[in-house]
Parts: sequence; C-alpha cells; structure tokens
Amino acid sequence: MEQNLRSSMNVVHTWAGVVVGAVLFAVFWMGTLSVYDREIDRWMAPMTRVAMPDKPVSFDALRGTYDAAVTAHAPSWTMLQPTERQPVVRIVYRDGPEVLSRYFDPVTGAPLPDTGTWAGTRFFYPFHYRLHLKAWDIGEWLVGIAAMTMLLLCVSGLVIHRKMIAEFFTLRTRKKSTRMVLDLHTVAGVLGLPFNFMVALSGLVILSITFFPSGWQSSYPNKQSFNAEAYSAYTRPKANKPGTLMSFDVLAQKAEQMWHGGKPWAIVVQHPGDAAAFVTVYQSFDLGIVRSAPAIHFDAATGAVLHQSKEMRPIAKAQRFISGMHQIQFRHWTLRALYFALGLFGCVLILTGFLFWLQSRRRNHAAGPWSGVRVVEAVAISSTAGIIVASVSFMVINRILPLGVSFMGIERYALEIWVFYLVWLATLAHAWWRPQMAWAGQCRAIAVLAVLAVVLNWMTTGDHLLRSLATPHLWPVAGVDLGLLALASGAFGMGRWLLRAERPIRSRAPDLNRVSSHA
Amino acid sequence: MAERITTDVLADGRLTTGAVRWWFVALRILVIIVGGYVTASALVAGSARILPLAGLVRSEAVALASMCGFLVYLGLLAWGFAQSRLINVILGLLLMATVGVALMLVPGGG
Repeated sequence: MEQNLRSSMNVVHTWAGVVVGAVLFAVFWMGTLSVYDREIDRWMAPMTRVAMPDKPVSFDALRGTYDAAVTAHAPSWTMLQPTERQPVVRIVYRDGPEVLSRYFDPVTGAPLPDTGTWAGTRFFYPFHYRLHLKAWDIGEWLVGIAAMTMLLLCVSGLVIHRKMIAEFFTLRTRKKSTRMVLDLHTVAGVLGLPFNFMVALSGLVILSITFFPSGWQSSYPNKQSFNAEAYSAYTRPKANKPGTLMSFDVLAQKAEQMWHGGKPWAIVVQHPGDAAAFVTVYQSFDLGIVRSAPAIHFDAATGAVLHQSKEMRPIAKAQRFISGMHQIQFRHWTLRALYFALGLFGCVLILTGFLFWLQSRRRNHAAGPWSGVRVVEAVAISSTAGIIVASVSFMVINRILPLGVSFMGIERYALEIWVFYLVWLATLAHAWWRPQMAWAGQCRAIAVLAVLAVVLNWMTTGDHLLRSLATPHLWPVAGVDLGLLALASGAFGMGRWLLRAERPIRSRAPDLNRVSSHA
Repeated sequence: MAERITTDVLADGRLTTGAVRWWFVALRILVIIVGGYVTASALVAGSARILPLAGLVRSEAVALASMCGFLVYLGLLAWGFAQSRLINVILGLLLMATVGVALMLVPGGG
C-alpha cells in the first residue's frame, strides 16, 4: 500500500511538473522580480530617481489633474503621496480605454516626463498574477491552476522523499550530473518547502472569492454585498448630475484628526465631477502585514463623513493578513530580500525539475522530429532560460529607446513589450532548432544582456555603480545593477556547467552506434 | 518504459490495449481534477451556509469556507490520484459532493 502510494505520487509529481512547469516558472520568475517592482520602476524610469522629500507637496497642488479626469469622464481618480519605495507623487485615472499613470515631482508638484514604460509595477507584476491575459480572467485562472498544482507538487514531493533530513545534507556534485541535478532539486525543494507552500496557498487566498464563487453565491445575492459586509467596502451609485468638490487638504486634515495623527497617504475620488462623487482618504499600506489600510469616505461636495472603515472581524482580518504575507507591501528590507532569495530558489527548483526529467529520458528516446522529449525540451528551455533572456532584453531596450519614440503607431511602452514577446518567441525557435546548444547559448545570452543593461544604464543616465552606491536615494538603482551583475555571473557559470555536464550525455547515443557498427 | 509505469499506476490494471488505456488515463485525470473542484465547491457552499449555525457571522463563514476550499481541493486531488480504482474515486467524490449539497439545504443556515 505504502509502496503504491509512493509510486502514484511519483507519477503525479513527474507529470504535473512537466505539464505545468512552464507556467509555474513564469509565475515564480515574475513574482520574484515583483518583490522589487518599484525599484525596477526607478531603474527603468530615470526621471523618477529623486530623493524622498521631508515635506511632500500638498494634495491640492495636483488638483489640475483631477479636473482633467472630470473632463475625460474617468470613473475614478487616484493620488498617491510619495513613499520610501516610490518617492514621487503618482496620479492614476482612466481616459477611455487607456489607464493614465503619471508621476509628479514630490516637492514642486511639477509633472515629470512620461516614463514611456510599464516597467516593474505595470508589466512584471501583472504578468505574475494574470500573465497579461485579461479576457474572461483566463490569466488569473491559469495562474490559479499553476498555484494549485504547486501545492500538489509539494505534497507529492514530500511523499516521494520521506527521508528529508538525510537528503537535505546530500549534494553529490562530482558524480554523474543527473545525480547532482536531482540532489539540487531535492535540496531546493526541502529548503524552500515552507515558502513554496505558503506562497502558493496565500496567492490563492488573495483571490479565494474568485476561485470559489460558490461560497458567496450560497449566502449573498452578489459579490459587492459580500465585500461590503466582510471588508466594510463602501460605494454609492452615480447621480448623473454635475457636482462640486471640496479641498483635498481639508479632508486629509480631517481624516488625520479622526485617526489621532495617522498620516493620510492616498486619496481616491469615485465618480469625479458627479453630484454623488465621494472622496476616500487612506492611510499607508506599508505599516503592517495586514493588507488593509484605515479609510474614511467623505462626501465630495460637503465633506460630511459617509463611512469609516471598521476594525475587521477575525477571519476577514486573517484573510487580509495572509494576502499581506504574499504581497509584502510592509516596510522590511531584510524580509524583502529573503522573499527575493526564496523566490529565486523556487525558480531553481522548477528548472532542476525540468532538467532531471529531460536527462533521465533523453537517452532512452529516439530523437525523432516530433518526439515528446524534444517538445518538452524546447518548451523547458524557452520557459526558463528564455523568459529570463526576454526580461533582461526588456530592460536593455528600455535604455536604448529614446523617450517619446513611436514606431508604426506603436507607442514606446508597447515597443518594449513587443521586444519582450518577440525575444521570448525567438528563444523558443532557437530551442527547437538547436536543442544541443540552446541551454548553454541562452545562459550566455543572459550574461551578455545583463552586463549590457548595466553599461547602458551608466551611459544613458550617468548613474554608474560607484555613484549610485554613494548616493542613498540611488540605492535602488544600485541594487538593480548589482542584481543584473549577479544574474550575469550566475548565468555564465550555469552555461559553462551545462556545457560540461551535457556533452557526455549527448554524445553517448552516437558512440553506441559506432561501437555496434564496428562489431 | 516510463509510459508503461505511468499508465499502470494511473489506469486500472485490467485494461491493456494502448489507445483504450490512454483514454482511460485521460478520463481519470479529468474526473479527479474537475470532479474534485466541483466537490470542493459544493463543500465550500455547504459549509458557508452551515457555519453561521455554529455562531459565525455570515461574511466570516463565507471567507473561512472559501479559504479552506483550497486545502479541501488539495486533499481531494492527492486522495484521488492515490486511489487505484477509478470507481472508488467517482463514488467518493459523489458522496462528498452530496454532503456539501445536503449542508446547503439545512434550514436556518446563513
């Protein structure tokens, strides 16, 4: 019975991993980058590399953008005050189908030039949780399936490797490379198990209402009424009559008094310009793990308090705590670095899982043009090494394209995204036609591109490492540069090791043929 | 070799011919994944309705049931793949889904 259980879990682990591994790696890689999404923003948008001001600009100073939102009939208007990780003022509203996200100088309130990039918060981060597939929420569901599979992989992996403690200390580097790959897979799996399980489960919990709609459907007429009751979300319908708006600063001051000194951080206006418009003042999210900030809703015209968020009930709070553990908006640099390292560990786990699957099958399978092994190998290469090549290319092209450029009607930010996807596609083609060289070749491409990105950052902004390390407000830029250099050396080392490890395995089949023909 | 072991574990041992065997594996995977999700959903809906009887606020019951749904689904997946007979999987899932639906019909729930 126990033997049966282990062998069935082995099969589940193997095939679930091969089928979902590609999506899982994309989610892990993009999630790891998202840990430092705002730092990547500052690297990719040099105009936002400013120091955190002692006294930021007032909310009313950017009233002009609100009037623009009214003219554009935007459903809402948002203003975020500078934070340590994003020391500029950010305004977001919708103009027709397009979401406008503009940055402003935190001291003068002057508009900064259009960044022309989606960078970390708008490209890498949404990629992490919905793969940029918005239609019918396909992306969110695919990521949800991948997360659920991750949980199953954790459980089945545990059943397969019961002797965890012993295997934790086993890394046979000098023996056969398949042994080393499997040992690496096990070590990364065991060491990362609590994190991988937590991160997959908490990611699902963020969207538990989406993934299990049967829960609220059994007790509520619609999702909004559930959210209102559980998380004291507030809304009121549009009046479709023009309305006026009070001073933001007066409302912010009022909120600060009601919070006994709690600092207002964000202002959101729903239905701008309408008689039923209301203003919500939020405190910052970065003060604790629980992903929820105190909020007060005011009537836009009179400033009357419409609704104040209450202390959440225990389970709703637990749900927001688990979400907060996943989204790490709290201020804690050490923990942030740990999430990044463990995320990379997860990437190594998935990569070595693929490698082990391939290495243990390549020899036994004829290399036909459409053999399953060849398909899996091409997909594996482009979904692991390839997505890293594409991500670094995205950052390289960001430093090459001048601001405001467009090509055949495609705007700058979209050009960057086109480069990402075309390079990614090219890595798949490369992996398909040259499987022998693709692993090592794409590792070398990562190394070259990452160094190029650091050099281009220096050439286009003047912020080389010596300068950025010496200037505290440029430390995020230095961090991204150092990360790129670490990636370059890691990829270079990996490329060399793969070349050495793969050669004897690759050449074995032809060798046998020669022996048999001589015999 | 690998395929042989896979299908032996995933399919009922009695079926031997290639194509039928693969259809059987596909059916089995579909039953476990889709059937497991439907069963977990039914249990989520049922417990969201029944938990208020134990003193929980309605919104708290829904939040708790939905969060636990993932662990229930994970348990169903692991259990389903560990079973050696497909008929046991189908009967087990049907039984648990019935429990979920029955809980929804308990009078006085949230």
